[in-house]
Amino acid sequence: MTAGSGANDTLAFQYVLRSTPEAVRETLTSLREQLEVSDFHTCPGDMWEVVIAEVLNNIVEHAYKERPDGEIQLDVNFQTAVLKAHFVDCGSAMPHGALPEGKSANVDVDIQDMPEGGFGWYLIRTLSDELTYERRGRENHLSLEMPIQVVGG
Amino acid sequence: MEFSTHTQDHVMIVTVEAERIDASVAIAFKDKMREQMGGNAAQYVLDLHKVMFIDSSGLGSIVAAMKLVPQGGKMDLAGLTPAVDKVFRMTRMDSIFTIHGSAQDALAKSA
Repeated sequence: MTAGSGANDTLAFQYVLRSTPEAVRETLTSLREQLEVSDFHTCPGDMWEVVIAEVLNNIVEHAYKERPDGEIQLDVNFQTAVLKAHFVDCGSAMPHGALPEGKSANVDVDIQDMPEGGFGWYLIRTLSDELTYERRGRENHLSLEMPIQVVGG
Repeated sequence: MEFSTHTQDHVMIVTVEAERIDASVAIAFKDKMREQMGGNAAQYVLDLHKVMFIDSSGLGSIVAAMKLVPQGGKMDLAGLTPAVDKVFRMTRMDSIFTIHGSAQDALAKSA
């Protein structure tokens, strides 16, 4: 499932997972475990995991519409100050062929009207530097880069 | 999704006994919280000190739990770890909850 390759300043992982929330959790848990046994230690408040989680959750919920038999390819590359990730799925294309805008949710409302979702793209957009999406044939390709802090190493 | 609970001075501390609140447990989380809200307590503190990771679905399930608090009651949060704290701050959800450093702090303030 995963191949970690450790060039001096790069740690690369590849996963192929099914389109279920449980597979997303397993993948992220595995990534974190792999990092813990490597020389790459990211800071406790680092947000890379939430960014990868939000993209994967979005593929599960929207591209595959919660169909559990879809396949997702994930490539993650940790470098000293940057994380690069590439996601491929064969689900539905993004509406209008573009990534959602990701506005922040309005929290200045009554408690009962408080949003219970819609935070995902806001988090992805706020935390990433580079974000590109392309429909290639029947595949969705999404790439992102975000800054990370590595301690030790 | 496991919780442990402890009631003191009419405040129910609900400790989440899990490292992750994510999309795979969000619905179970909300259902479990609904069970907890059935008691007599009107004040709740959700203790998250064991939770190392939350995603937007997990965040949504905490907002949903807050809406289940009976009228006149409240639900505070306590013990946010760094990554969880950041998600609350980035989404401005820190402005709709009272957040305590720990469950003990929360009890001290309500006493």
